[in-house]
Amino acid sequence: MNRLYTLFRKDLRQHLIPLIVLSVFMAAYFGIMMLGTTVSQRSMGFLAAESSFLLFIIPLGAVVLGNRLVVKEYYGRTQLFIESLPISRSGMFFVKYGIGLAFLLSVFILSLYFASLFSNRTDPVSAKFFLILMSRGGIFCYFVWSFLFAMGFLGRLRIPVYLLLGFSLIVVNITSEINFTRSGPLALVMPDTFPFERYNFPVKDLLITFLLGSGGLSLAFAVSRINEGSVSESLAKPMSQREKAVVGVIFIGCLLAITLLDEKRVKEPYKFNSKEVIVNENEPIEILYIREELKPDAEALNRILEKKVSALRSTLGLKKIPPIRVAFRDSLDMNKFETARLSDADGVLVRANFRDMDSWCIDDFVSYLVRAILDHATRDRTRFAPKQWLHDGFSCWWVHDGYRAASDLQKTLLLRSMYALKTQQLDSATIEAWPVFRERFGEPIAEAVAFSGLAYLQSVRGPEAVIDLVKEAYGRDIPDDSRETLYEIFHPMRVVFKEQTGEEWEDFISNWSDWINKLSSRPEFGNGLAAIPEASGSIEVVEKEGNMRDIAYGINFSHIPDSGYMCSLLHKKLPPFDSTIDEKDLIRDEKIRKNGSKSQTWQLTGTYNAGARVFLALEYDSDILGAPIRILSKRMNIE
Amino acid sequence: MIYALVRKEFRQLLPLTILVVILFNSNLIFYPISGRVDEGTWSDISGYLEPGSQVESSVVLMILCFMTAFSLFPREHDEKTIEYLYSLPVSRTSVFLSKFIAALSILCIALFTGTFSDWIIHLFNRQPFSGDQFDLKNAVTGCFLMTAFIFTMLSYGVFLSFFRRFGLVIFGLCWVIVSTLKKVYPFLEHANIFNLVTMEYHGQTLLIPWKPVSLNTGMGIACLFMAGFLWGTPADRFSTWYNRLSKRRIGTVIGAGSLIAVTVLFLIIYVRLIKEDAGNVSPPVAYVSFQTATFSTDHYRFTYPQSLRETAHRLIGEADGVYEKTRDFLSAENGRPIVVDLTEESHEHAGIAALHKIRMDIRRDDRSEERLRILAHETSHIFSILESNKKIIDHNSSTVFYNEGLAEFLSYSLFPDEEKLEAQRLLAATAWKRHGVTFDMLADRASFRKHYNEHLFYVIGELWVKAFYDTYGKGAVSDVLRAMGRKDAPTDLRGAALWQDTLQAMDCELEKINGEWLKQLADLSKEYESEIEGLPRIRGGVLEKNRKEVTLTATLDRIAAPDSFTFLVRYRNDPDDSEEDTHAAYGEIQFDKSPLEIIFKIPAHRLTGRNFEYQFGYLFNWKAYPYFEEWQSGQSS
Repeated sequence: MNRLYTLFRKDLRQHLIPLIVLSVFMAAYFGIMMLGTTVSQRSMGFLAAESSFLLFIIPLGAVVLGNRLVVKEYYGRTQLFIESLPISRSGMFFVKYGIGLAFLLSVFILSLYFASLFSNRTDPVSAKFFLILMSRGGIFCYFVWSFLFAMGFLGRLRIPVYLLLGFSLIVVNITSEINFTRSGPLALVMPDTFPFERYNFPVKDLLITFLLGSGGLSLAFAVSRINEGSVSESLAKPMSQREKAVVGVIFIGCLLAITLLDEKRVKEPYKFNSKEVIVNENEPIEILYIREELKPDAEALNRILEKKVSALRSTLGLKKIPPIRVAFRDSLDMNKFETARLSDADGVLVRANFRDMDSWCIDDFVSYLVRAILDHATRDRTRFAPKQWLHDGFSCWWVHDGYRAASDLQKTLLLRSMYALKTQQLDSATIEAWPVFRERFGEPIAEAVAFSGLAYLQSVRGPEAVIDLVKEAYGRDIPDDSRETLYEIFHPMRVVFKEQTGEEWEDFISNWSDWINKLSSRPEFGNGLAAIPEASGSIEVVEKEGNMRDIAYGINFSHIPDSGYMCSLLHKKLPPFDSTIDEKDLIRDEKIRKNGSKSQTWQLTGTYNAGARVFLALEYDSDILGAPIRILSKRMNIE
Repeated sequence: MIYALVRKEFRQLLPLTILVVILFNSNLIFYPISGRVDEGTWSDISGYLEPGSQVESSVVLMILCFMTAFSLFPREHDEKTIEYLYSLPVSRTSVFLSKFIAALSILCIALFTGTFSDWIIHLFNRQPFSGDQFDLKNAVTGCFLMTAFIFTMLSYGVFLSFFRRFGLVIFGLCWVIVSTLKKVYPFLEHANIFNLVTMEYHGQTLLIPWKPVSLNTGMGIACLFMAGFLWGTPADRFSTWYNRLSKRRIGTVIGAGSLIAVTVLFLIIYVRLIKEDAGNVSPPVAYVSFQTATFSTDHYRFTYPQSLRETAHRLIGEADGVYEKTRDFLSAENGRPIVVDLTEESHEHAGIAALHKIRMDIRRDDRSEERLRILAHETSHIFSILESNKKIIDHNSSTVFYNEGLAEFLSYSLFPDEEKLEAQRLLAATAWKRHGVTFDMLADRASFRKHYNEHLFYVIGELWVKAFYDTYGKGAVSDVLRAMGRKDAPTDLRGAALWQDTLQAMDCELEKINGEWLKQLADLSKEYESEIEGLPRIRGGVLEKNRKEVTLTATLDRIAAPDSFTFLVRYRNDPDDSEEDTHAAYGEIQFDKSPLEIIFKIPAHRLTGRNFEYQFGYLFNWKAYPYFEEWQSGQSS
């Protein structure tokens, strides 16, 4: 015992100054944390500072201590001198362990004492509460020290072990429901429980932490004893550059693995939880109708959707149709639909106001739904620009059972198409950059143009050609990695088009434009087109004081339009990096057009200032086209 | 000879070179297997160029810089291998510089190859917009900023490595000191090295934050000089002397003594500054005396200031009633007594709550009814924490609107104040109509905060709870807490997915509640149509800036009696700033201007970056929270 005491005195003497320095540091940090508590507007009292102290500073102190008491001793091989003395190895081990633990516990108890003292004025700390705090913090210190003490014996393996442990914890976190902040060591000192749990001892967490700490202590003891300590001695040498690099590479590998694991996480599928639901027996369709009086409408919708989805499945050869859910949403306009953001496994959820099915725009809805289904089935490959026109066109084409020249609705679509192609020449570059075309003319007109392409294809090659083309584009199982990029390299639009339709892509586009031009000379279309006035618009930035800017915009018609009274400025702040804009994210600033006026101007004040990048577009409602006509659109930096 | 030295260093650092090159070019392997390269955007591939603070990637870079710096000198000196280099016919400065240049070159080469490989990957994307993101000027500016960061961190590292592992403690201490003093001297934010890698754009042009760049690289150069003196000059003797001294007790005593002196000095300065800062704040309406007293009831343990005894007693007298009503409303069991600290003095909130504890400022309102409502509100939070098995805190980002909404709904149900509730609902309807708040936004605090004022969680959340109550009855609004805290509940869900799952577990349907919520909001918008029309939109921008203050000006979009509004602007440096780091200033109406202008002056020292964010608003009813427009961004320099 006397020898151990001598050893204890020697160690204490040797590390006295570092211990003093460390305690001053820890005290200073504690002081700063306490001061922070008084300054913070949202502080819950001084005990909150103690929790942060335990969580961050005690482990930091333990790392320094472990380094000083173990790592440095083995690295400098000074332990050999002590080993030559007539003292047992376990004695040496426990003296060092004891010094570290006693130091950390003393610092913790002192800090807790002061925190409680300060807290007493506003939040009295009862004896039981103090004991709870003591047990939580004390066991946590025991765990931290035991673990880091053990790590000290692992020498140069410490860093890889830390990384491995960190990686394992992340994997467990991803693959299981274990919440590390709610069980085990961290649960004891979390700021949302430590300063407040004044009635119950967290027995389970205390036990887990104690066992983990004891595990660490046993590991340290075992490593220090193996082959009379030669293992820890050989591990004490610092890592070479090469070893560091290997650890780094393993670390990167782990990061990659974590990312991949995270992406593969599967969640429980979502289902409607209401008795007001119609579940289709043959197709994965569910309709939530919310109110009893809507049941007949929901049943009618169910019948239509079953037919359409079943046909879509067989026509495109889709192996799997995602679960399709339609929810009634009162607040939506009849012709407006909304897609909810769901995880992959949850399928497609579309909201619509399907009250009164007889007069509802069912075709528009089915077209919207088909697009959403294809988006899901192809993991959004439908948005890939060079083939996006197919996605836009097919939903319209499919919902109308192909092109029928006599259909009034399809005539309107063709009219929209004629209007757009009157303004812009169609070529392969335009189609390849389909999002630009969409942004210029707006969604309804771009879809109509795409539809006219498929209508023309049907008229020259039959409906099978259209189906074969779409089947090749979207009927495959499309991977969400770069295998699809490879496929695209070997199967660009012109190749796929030739393979599936037998037509040359470039020739087809030029014939399609000619067909539209020819159609537009027919009186049934020509009159409509003539009634649409030539319109020009302007969007300008008006410089004001400082960095303030206004957006002045105006519209000028060649003749007063017969119908449509609304003009709109569509705008949105853009990030510095361009990407496709979702139409539903645009803010619509609507203005009523003055009757009898050919031109008009407005101003948008103070919304966008110098330095912003914005998207701006000008539209007016056209009853002839049944859709807004976009006069101009631009992305601009406001200087 | 120097060339040979640099080559030797390159050889020595080869394993590290391989590591950093792999790290910087990991996208070449990672990207093709995790996504379709022809859809990859440049901002996505070169993530550090995304606007805003890039702390995560720069911390990794910081570790790499320190790793490199610490592997340059200490080991060579400890193992005395540096003596071989000193025996060569080159100056010690050349040896020092060759090592530094080699390390800097390795990190920079890795950075440049990384940028090049990102560009190569991006070339696969030939789609319009997303495929056109690469911009050479921005790439060069980005590389410049990262190089400045690397240079500075490497210089710090080489200097700190002289003190071996203790250097990291010095770095940590400096960091804490600067971060702490920053609260009193905001200009110190310029010394934050992460500002170098906080990407700010003017339109599409990446800006160079010259102040932080010059300050940090300047400090880097200073550190490099000091490191050169310590490691590389004939003053290497100093290094030997330091090593000898540090091994002796007197050295440790001197080192420890100076550190203690620095720490104590820092604490004294800090306390003094805080006192000065506190002195600048306008005095509160009533002072809370230092003496406190306690009072226990069946369900609460109160601590109150002696100077507010009567006020406190009025509250305490009815507190148990509040507890029981709240408990019954939430169909909860009696919990342990709640500690209520009535000594709180805050200009930011009336009360805050955590597990078993409430802090309330009882000076704020003269009406005891209002205090009871606040107590009910905070007590509701505590029941929510307990009933949800703390899950409401774990999922705070997705549940904050419900937590606050439920507390509001409950407190107004128990202590009705029709006038105030109406004002809150008018605010909710106005904000919803003008900003188009959706449930997805409401259930995602981080993204909500980027656009709107957090007070909307209370008022719009209250309406969501009301819709829930109207759809599924009283029991459901508390059952959802228990469903959230059920044992088999998934822990990794967020936002709407969390709510779908929780409601699914109690046989309720989110779509139904959301439908009802939107219907109620639409009905309210109709009901308050004329009031909403009467609330002007307020918009503006930065008028001028000088060294002391930044002046903002705003105008109203319609004619309104300016006297009936108190105009405010809230501002912050970054969308990720906490509520505590978001400040407010009152506006001055310029009656002589037509159209009417409101001028706001904000202290320039609070704005540390070139870009900052502001949000105009006004108080239209003293009983309601202020109305605020969406956050806008402006430039302060």
